[in-house]
Amino acid sequence: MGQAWTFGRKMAVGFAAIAGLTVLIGGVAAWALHAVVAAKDRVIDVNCQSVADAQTVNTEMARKVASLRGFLLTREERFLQEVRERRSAVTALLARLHPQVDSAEAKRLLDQVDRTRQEYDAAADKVIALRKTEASQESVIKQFDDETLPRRDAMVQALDQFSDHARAALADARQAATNTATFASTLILTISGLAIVLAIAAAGILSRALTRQIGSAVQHVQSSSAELQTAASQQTTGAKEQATAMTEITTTISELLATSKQIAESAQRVAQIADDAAGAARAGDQTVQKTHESVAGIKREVDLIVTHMLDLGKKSQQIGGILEIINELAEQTNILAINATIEAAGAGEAGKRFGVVADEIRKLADRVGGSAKEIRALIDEIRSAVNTTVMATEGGSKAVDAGARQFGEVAASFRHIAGLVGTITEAAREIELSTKQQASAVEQVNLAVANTAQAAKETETSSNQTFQTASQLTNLSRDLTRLIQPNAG
Amino acid sequence: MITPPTPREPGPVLLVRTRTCVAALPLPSVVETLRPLPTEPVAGMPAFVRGVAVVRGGPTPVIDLAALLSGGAFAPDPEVARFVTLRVGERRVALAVAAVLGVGGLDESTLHSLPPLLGAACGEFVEALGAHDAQLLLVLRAARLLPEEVWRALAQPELTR
Repeated sequence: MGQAWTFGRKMAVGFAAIAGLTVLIGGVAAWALHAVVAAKDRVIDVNCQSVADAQTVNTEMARKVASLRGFLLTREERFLQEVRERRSAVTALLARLHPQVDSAEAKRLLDQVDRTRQEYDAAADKVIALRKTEASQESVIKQFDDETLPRRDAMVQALDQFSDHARAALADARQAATNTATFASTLILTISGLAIVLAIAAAGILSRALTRQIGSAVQHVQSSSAELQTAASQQTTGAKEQATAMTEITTTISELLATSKQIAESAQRVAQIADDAAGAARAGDQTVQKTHESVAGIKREVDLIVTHMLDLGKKSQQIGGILEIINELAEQTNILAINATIEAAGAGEAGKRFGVVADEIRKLADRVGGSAKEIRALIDEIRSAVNTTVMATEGGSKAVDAGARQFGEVAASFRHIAGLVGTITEAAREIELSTKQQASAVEQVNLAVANTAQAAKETETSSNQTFQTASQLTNLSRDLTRLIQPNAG
Repeated sequence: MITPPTPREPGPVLLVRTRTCVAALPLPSVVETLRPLPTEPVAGMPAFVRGVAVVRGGPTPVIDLAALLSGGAFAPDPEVARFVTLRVGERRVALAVAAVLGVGGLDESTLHSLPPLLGAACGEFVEALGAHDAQLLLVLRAARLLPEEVWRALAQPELTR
């Protein structure tokens, strides 16, 4: 997981660890300083104050005793007032000392002081009361010596015990504070040493990790800069080639522009020619329309011829029927004539003349039959010719029909041609317009290509700069490598 | 038994034509010419007998002259256009021919007797040979056209009814 950490993260973790140790050391030092200060404050505020207060109480008591003696000697009220003031001061000091002491011994000693003070004050009040009377000096002195002084000594002794105890407590507290300071110093030194060790270890780890990571990164940077150099070289070459190609493209586009203009002129001529062709197609269409009407007239005439021919065929058929009758009659006449000839021959001399007539009749009948056959043949030929003519006429009629249809198709073709020519004209005009637009677009493209060529040159310059930057990056990587690996080349 | 032919008497003849030759029929033997009539075939008859037709109300055997002259080599002529009825004694016989050319006389000098070989082959109905308009002319004997056994066969009651 640590290998995946970034350089900054590792640095942050290392500095965070060192900062944590520093904070720990600071905390410990603060705690130690606070403990020492607290111990010293306690020594100063409690123990020293207790000693000082005990000394002050002693002083105040001495002054109170002195004031008492002064009153006893002079009976002046001001001494008595001083006595009362001293008492108040002592009482206040003792009252302030009570909360400061915490040990049982000190409290006991302080109570003893307070008790002896009260006994003394009671004894002093008795002496003062006695002095205020008319008692003798000696009795007062005696009262003082007997009652007051012992109380004063007891009070002083108790106060001395308390003072001794306070000084002892002061020494103990000083020693405890010294111990606390020593412990804190030791602890701070120990933690500081540990922090130094940890910092050295973290520095070593970070150094190794950073050396490894930076070395790897520098190697990557070196290889990348080498690749960048190669890419920049290739880019430079490509930019040069691109500039050359752009120049060629510019030349080609110029030629294309000239060609587009020629195409536009050609399209204009095509449109003019298509207009002429459309006029010719319309004229052809009118001619075809007239021809179509003529063909329709021919068709009507041909139909009339067919009708006449069919009538002729029917008439020929009727003639054929009549000829059949004539032929039949001729044949019958021939038979009868032959039979008459036969009969005439059988009649002998008497039938000879009749036989001659019969033979003539037979010959006439033969001639009639022959003529009928000839007429029949002619009629057949006529019918055949009529049939042929009818067929030919029908074929002609069909041809006329086909021709009429073809003329119609031709007319339709002419109209279609006229439409197509119109479309061609329109297309040619569109081509002309499009070609002009194309020429304009080509000019724009030419300008864009020129800009692209300029951009290619700038790209070449930029590639050179990139190459130089990559070289500088390579040198920088080498310097970095030297920084992290002094022995590296 | 073949009856010896009687010599032909000169006189007018009726010239008829078949598809192969011209035949001359003695005019006294000719009754009339007429159009072909419906003919009923008769079983057992020779091939040249086309059958029996009713002519002038009487049954008359019809002989196909072309088949007769070919000796049965030719089938009956399909182009028969005329019947020529002949008088054979009391009988009548009809010749089916292609055409009747007419009545005329024969130049006797151009006629030749029938050679013996042909005489045996053709029977007794061809009397002489000649030429007519560059065609073979056969002068026929009407009485010998149909053999007697045919006449007998035709005379059977069921055929004459």
